[in-house]
Amino acid sequence: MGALLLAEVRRLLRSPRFLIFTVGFPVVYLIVFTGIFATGPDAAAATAVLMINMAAFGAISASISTGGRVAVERSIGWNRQLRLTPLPAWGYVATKAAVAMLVALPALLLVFAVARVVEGVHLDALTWVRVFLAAWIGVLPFAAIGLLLGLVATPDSAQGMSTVTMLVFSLLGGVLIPAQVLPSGMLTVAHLLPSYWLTAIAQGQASGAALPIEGVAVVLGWLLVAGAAVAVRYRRDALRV
Amino acid sequence: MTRSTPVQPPTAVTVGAAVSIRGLHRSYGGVRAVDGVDLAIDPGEVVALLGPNGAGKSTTIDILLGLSRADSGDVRLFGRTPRQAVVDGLVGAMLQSGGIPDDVTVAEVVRLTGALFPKPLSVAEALLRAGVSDVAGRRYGRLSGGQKQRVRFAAALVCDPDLLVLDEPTVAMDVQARREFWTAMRSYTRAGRTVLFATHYLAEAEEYADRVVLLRKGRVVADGSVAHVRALASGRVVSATAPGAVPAALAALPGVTQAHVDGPRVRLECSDSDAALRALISAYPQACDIEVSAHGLEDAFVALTTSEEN
Repeated sequence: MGALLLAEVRRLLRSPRFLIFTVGFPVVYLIVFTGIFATGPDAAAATAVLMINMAAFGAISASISTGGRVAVERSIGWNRQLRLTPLPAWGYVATKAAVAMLVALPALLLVFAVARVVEGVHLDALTWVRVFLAAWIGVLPFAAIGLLLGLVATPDSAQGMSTVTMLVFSLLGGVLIPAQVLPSGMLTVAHLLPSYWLTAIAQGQASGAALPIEGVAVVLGWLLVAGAAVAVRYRRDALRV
Repeated sequence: MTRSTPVQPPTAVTVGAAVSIRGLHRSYGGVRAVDGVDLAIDPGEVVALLGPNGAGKSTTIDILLGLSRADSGDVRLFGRTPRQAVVDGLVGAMLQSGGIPDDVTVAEVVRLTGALFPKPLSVAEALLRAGVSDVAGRRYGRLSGGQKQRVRFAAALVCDPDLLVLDEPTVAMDVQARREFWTAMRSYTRAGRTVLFATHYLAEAEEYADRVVLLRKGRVVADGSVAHVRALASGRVVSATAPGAVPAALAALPGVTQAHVDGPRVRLECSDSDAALRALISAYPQACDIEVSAHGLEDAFVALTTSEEN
């Protein structure tokens, strides 16, 4: 299983397009948006919010986009090939989830680094770690959602499906539009989404707020439902193809 | 041609068999893809699985490898369930429907596959045996069709299996690539390994298999050595130039089952070619250019897989 994970990472590092789109975009957005919105007396606070939102956006789109690779691999028969080895079903699912978590890392780390160095965001070391961990753990439901998409989609539909999914979570969850400016009706919807809580919990860690029970429950709920759907779907897929 | 095709009786539990399939059934919707297959393969046998499209070859192989479930029947590989045999590294398989991502190198895919098994060969050895050492560093997507097939072969044998299952291994290969593939296969099976391969190329079955199993509509319609299966499609063909011969008279000759006349050329299908030949010469002393030939496996294949349902 370690061998499979290693092979996956090697393949990703070989795919510059993948990294540019998932890492490059959020960094560019951060710089552009900070220039536009982070002005006046609240500049520092606004920059910190933008940093976490853009990091979250990059991490969400990176982890969801791994589904496209799964869809292609299914269609060419790589999954069947793997099923001719002792690799257990859970081993496959766990490896793919781990890959989706790993690809979220560059987006998080690079956006934080740019925010620190270029935009001058200052947090103490422990707070950086807490913000990072909160954001990264918040990506878990999206790893499961990406994998689910990959198991449902065809190679042709995967791209569109993951783009739409990523946009829906980012827009409605107050990632691309700050939750602070969402109308109250949309805020109610946002409170049900793991993308909202990914940013809200990470921002809370930056400002020293307590962990919201509601947020933890929503994130866990999405993780469990998407994870169960992956398990069901994987089993059905294995029997069908 | 009306003939009931002899089918070997269902095998009793075969102790120590490499493959033991009994009473296998599998339907998709209303279609019976596999309709009561019995098959036992001893260790060391090289068996060709022949049959037209839709005969149930792929379904049988899928069930054999644990990729698909049977509706009923029992499948054992070395006395274990298919999945257990795979987990124990006893089975290597090369499927048409199996694929390798384009962005993985040859060495990587073989190393990865080997790493998932308990006692793999070294990567270098697997590449060497499959004849792809020279492209180890190349990405899979940049290989020729023949090279890709041999890389898949390397991935099938890296677990050092006792049983190799190959589904149409040489499809899309040119003649040269096909020959190289079988050369690699042959040196591999010399070590006493069991091989089951499905193929459309009758010449391959004839040349490389010890035994041929013909499938038709989900059933085994013939099973035996190449010579045995060939003989099932009945004896020999006598052809000669015999001006003036008429089909009815020819068909009445002893040992002849059917006669065809094409100008001066006659073609007799015989149950007893010796008797037919003597009778032909005494009835038509001027007969010349006489040839006696055995049916090819191809004739047997066509005959057995197209005969009417009894």
